Amino acid sequence: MKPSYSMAMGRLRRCLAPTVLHMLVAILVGACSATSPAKPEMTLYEQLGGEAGVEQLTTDFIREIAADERIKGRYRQTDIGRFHRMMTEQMCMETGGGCTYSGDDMLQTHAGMKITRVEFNGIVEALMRAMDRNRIPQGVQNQLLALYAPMHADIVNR
Amino acid sequence: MSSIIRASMLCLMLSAVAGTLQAAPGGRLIATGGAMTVEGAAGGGIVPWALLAGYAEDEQFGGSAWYTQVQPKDFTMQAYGAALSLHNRVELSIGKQRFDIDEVIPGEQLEQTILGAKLRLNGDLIYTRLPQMTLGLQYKKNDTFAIPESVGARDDKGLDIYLAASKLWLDGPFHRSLFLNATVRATRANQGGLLGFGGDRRNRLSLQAEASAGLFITRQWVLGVEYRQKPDNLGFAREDDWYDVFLGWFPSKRVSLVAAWSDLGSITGLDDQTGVYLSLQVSQ
Ligand code: HEM
Repeated sequence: MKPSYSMAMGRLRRCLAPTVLHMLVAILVGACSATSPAKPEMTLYEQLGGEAGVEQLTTDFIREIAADERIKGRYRQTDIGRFHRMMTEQMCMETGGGCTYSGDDMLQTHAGMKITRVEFNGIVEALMRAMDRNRIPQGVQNQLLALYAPMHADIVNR
Repeated sequence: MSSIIRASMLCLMLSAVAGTLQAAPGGRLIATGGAMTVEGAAGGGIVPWALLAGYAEDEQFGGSAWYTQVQPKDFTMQAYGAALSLHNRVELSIGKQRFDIDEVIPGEQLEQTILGAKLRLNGDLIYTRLPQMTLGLQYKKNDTFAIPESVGARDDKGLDIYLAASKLWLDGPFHRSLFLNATVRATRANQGGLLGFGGDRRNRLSLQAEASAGLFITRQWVLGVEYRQKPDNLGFAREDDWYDVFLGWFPSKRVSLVAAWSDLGSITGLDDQTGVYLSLQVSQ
C-alpha cells in the first residue's frame, strides 16, 4: 500500500524534526487527531460527514443562533426554511461538496444591516458551538472557520 | 505621595474590571486577549503583543486582572496588575513587580511600578490580511532605586516605547491555529527596569527585538515560545536575553492560566536563572 507507507514516512519525518517544540506539537496534535485519521484526499465536505453531516451541522448552527441573545433578533423576519437551505448549499459549495449556491452573495445579503463586529463573532461562536456539539475535530473546524473568516469584509458594517 | 496615587489607580482599575465582570465577557473570540505580561500589557509572559487585554470589541469595555509568579533558580518574582481596554482601541494598564534578591543581598527586594498604554493602530488579528499593529508605552518607576543606583544605574524611571504586530492564522500548520507576534522596543531598562534605567556601560535608548509564536492545539490550549532581546547597560553584571516555552489554557473567556518554563539568563551575576512561570488572569 503506497499511500499508507508515504503517510507513515511523513509522520516519521515530522517526529524527527529538529526542535523539541516541534516534536511536542507533533505528539500533542497527533494525540488530539487520533480519533479521526485525516485522509488528505478527503474533501472538507466529506470530513464534515458529507450531506448528512452538513445538514445536521447547519441545523445545529441555526439552533445556536436562535439561542444567542446577541444575534437572534436579526432573524425575526427571516424565512428560516430558506435560510437553512442557503446555509447548507453555501457550506456544501465552500467545502468542495460540489453544490451550486443559489442564494444572494454575502455583500448583497447583508448590505444595509450594519452588522457589528460583535454580531459577526457571535455567529462564529454559534458555529463553533454547533461544530463542538457534532464532535467535529479541531483541525476540520479550523478549515471551515478559515473559509468563513474572510467573509467578514463583505458582511460587517455594510 | 506618588505611591498613594499609584495604589489608588490600581484600586480604581481593579474595581472597574470587577464592576464590568457582572456582564458577560466582551465580543471577541476566545483567547484573542492573550495573557498578561509581567509588565502588565496584554501579551505573552514577557513580550507585549498587539492584542488588547480582555475581550472588548469596538463598542465595548474590557480588561484583565492578573497575578504572576516566576521562580528562577535563585530568585522569586511576584507581579500583579490590571488593564482596562476601551473599544478594542486603547489599553491602559498598571502593574507592580516584586523581585526577591535574598540570595544576593539578604532581606532585600527590588520593586517597580509600570503604567502602560497601548493604541491599536490598524488591522485585526484574524480578519485582515495585514497583522494587527499596536503602539505601546510603558512608564516604569523603580521603587527601590538605592540598590540599582549602587551598581551603576542612572535613573529610577524610564519610558519604553514599542511597536507590536500580531496575526492569527485560523488554519495553520497541522490545521491548528497559528499565532505569531513581533515586537520592537526602544528601552533603557536594566532587567526590565528592576535594576533601574541606563548604566555605566551604556545610557542610551536601544532597540530590542522580541517575538512570540503559539500553536493552538485546541481552542482552549496553546503551546508557544517567546524571545525577548535585552540591553546590557550595567558593568557590574551581565544581562541576558529572555526565553520561555509556554502552555496557555483558556477554559473560558473569563479565566486563563499560563504555565511556562522561563530562561532569564544571568541576573545580578547569578547565571542560569531558569525556572517555572505561572500566571492567572481574570478577564472581561
Ligand atoms: C460568516 C458569517 C455569515 C455567513 C456565512 C452568512 C451567510 C448567510 C446566508 C447564506 C444567508 C442566506 C442568503 C439568502 O437567503 O440568499 C444569510 C442571510 C442572513 N444573514 Fe448571514 N451570514 C453570516 C453572518 C451574519 C451575521 C453576523 C448576521 C447578523 C447577526 C447575519 C444576518 C443574516 C440575516 C438576518 C439573514 C437573512 C436575510 C433575510 O431575511 O433575507 N449574517 N446569511
